[in-house]
This record gives sequence, structure tokens and C-alpha cells, in this order.
Amino acid sequence: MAPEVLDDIEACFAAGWTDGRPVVPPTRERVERMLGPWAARRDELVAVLAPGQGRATVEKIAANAVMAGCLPEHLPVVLEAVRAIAEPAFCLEDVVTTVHSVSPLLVVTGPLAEKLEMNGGGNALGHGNRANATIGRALMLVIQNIGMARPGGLDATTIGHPGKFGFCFTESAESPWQPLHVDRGLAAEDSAVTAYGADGPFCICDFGRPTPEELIESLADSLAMPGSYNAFFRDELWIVMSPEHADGVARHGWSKADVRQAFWERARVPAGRLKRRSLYGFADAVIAPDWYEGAEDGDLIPLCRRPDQVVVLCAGGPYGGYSAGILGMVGSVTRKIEEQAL
Amino acid sequence: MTDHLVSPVADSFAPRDLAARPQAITGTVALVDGMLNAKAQWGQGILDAVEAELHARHPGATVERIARPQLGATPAEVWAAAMADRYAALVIAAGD
Repeated sequence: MAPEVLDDIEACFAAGWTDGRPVVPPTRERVERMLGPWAARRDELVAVLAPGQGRATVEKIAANAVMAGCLPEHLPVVLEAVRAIAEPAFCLEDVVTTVHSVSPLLVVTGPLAEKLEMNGGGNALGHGNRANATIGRALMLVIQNIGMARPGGLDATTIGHPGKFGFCFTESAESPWQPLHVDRGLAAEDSAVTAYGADGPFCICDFGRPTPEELIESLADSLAMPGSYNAFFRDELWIVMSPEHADGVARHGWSKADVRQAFWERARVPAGRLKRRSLYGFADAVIAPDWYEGAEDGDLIPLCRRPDQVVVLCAGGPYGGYSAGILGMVGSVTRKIEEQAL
Repeated sequence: MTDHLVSPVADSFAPRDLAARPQAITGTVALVDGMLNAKAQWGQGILDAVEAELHARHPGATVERIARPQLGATPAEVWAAAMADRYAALVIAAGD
């Protein structure tokens, strides 16, 4: 690598622009290449981003996309992801400033995900795919450089999680169900990005359940953690089912709605366990959860208020009895990716 | 030097909508550090700023600092009721 490029990489570190890993220096030439047909709209305001209230223009977002290593064809996804996290329902300020360990997760669905060769197969939630890695990273750089939620500054998370480097994937082509954006009312031929304030994912293993009921019960038991935000505030929770697990229930005729309902009924924590753990002493004094008033110790508290707050996805490799639980806070936002971008 | 690079950092910021402020505060305001732990006193820094603002805007108000560890032994509702009887207002530095 040419010495001047190494110097530029170091300059980006010195300027505080990076996430702790080296970035592609955002030279004018690279940013212009990233903008492509968007150049005429470079000054257009895409969103105002909390907590710093920075104005995210197309050009500023493009510069962060360059640094993340994105290709120009990734930019429309990043732009729409920025719009998604800026929607009030996402509660960006809460998600990126909390001492809790959450970070925006993106799921890209529809034809564009396939066109960009995004990974919804083996290691979907992990490393190794450029689009997954760079789109997620670009959003985090935007949050840090435009929203001004910097680690050690306005981002006050106590523990953090690896997804803060970027957390983005797509659904499996082997999914027995319709994709997430169709659940949200968009057409199958649309492409969309969904953003969720996500905890780190945790693996749930089950190889032996012979019936859908038993499999869901096994997975739900692992989701029902009394130390989670979901257990107190009962917001959205996600379960990423491997193709093997998804097929294990779908081939018995279970729809996604059936699966959501089953998780909602089974992923519950006794009120008595909650009152003696986790956010007790804080939540009741500051933001009393709605289940708390009058709950008996034996009452089973669901992890979300309604079955439709259980988001069921299918991703992962074709073999293996592993799914992933992704708890989180507040709710997710789905946005159709601009037609022009396609 | 980054002059030849396109800055990825926002160069303009929108104003914040601020919550309504009380016209007057009298009496003693308790400034409660609910983020206290043995190693770091994050809450004190926040409360320093709050105290300066209170003195500037409401010179008639007095303040009292209280440390309440977030992982405290006293049930929160018992503690909050006791505080309400003693102070004109509570400002709690808390993390969530």
C-alpha cells in the first residue's frame, strides 16, 4: 500500500473518524464515485440524527459509506437505513445513548438483498460478506460522525456488544415463510431495510424436539431471561430461526403467525422472579412497567405485549439445530428502499 | 492532515426542542446521584452542571447532594416517599 494511503488511514484515526478499525480514506474522488447518480442530490437532507442533532446529508452519508468500505450500489441501502433509525418509533436517542447494550441491527430483504449478494445463509450474523459487513458498519459510522454518539462520549453503554461495529444481514433463501418486509405490508417485489435496537444475539441450541410445540417451548425457555429489558418493558423481541428449525415447524403447517403466537405464549417469566432481579429498584421508581401493578409472584409475564411484537426471521446455514435470540428495546422500523436506487 | 479528505462529520446541527421549564423554584432541591458506584462518580459530573444551572436560573433555591447507589438496599418506593416529604424537588442522575 502506498505510503500516502497509510498516512491517510492514520489521519482518519487522528481525526476521530473511525470505529477503532482502519477505514478507507474518504478522498474526494472516492466520495464522488460513491455518490454516482446521487451527486445531484448531495446536499439533500436525509435526516437529523440524535443525540447530536447532526444534519445527515447524502454527501456526508456517502463519505461514511466510503470509510466503511461500501460499494456505490450499497449506498441506497445505507441512505434508507439512516431514514429508518431517524423515525420517532426507533427512538434513536435512547438506543445510542443508553447505558444498556443495544445497537442498531439492519435486515435487508427483497430483490436488492439478492442483487447485492448479501448473506442470509451460513454465518449470516457473522463475518465474511462484504455487503453485510460494510452496510452495517457505514450506519454505525454515520451514528458516530453525524449523530455524534461516540464511544466514551454520548454513547454511554456500560458493556457494549460486537454488533456496534456493524450488524446487518438478510434472510435465508430457504425460508419457508414470506420475508419481513412483506409481513410489514410491502410487496414481495419491493426491497426494504428494517432497523431494530438490538442486544447482542445469543445462540440457542436444540437438536432433538420432535414436534413444533416442543421445539418452540425449548427455544422460548432460553428467550425468557429475567435480566433482559424485554422482561421489564415488554417491547419487541426477535428470534432468528435456522432453516432446520424453521422447517421443523413449517412442515407441520405452522405459519409465521402461529410461531409468533406460540413464542408469545411460552416466553414468559414469573413476576416474582422479576421483582427480585434486574431492573427492580430502578424501573419501578422511574418508569414503572405496566405489568408491575398488582402482579402476583406466580403470574407469568410475557416478554412483549402482543404476539405481533415477536419478529420471526429465518437465516443461517442449511444444517444445524441452532437459532438465535435477539432481545432489544423499543420497536423496529421498516422502510422501502427508494425505487430510484434500484 | 485531512484537508484533502471529505469530512464524514456533520457540519451543521438542528436545534433541540427543550422541555418546559418551571417559572420559579424555591426551597431545597435534592440532587441525587443514582449512578454512584465505588469506582466512578458519573452522576456527580451531571449534577455539577445541574447545580450551576439552578443557581443561575433560580438563585433563591438551595441544593443538597445525596448519594443513592443504584443497587441500593432501600426499596425504591420507600426511598422516593421519604424524599418527597423533605424536598421541593428531586433531580436524579440515573442511567438506563
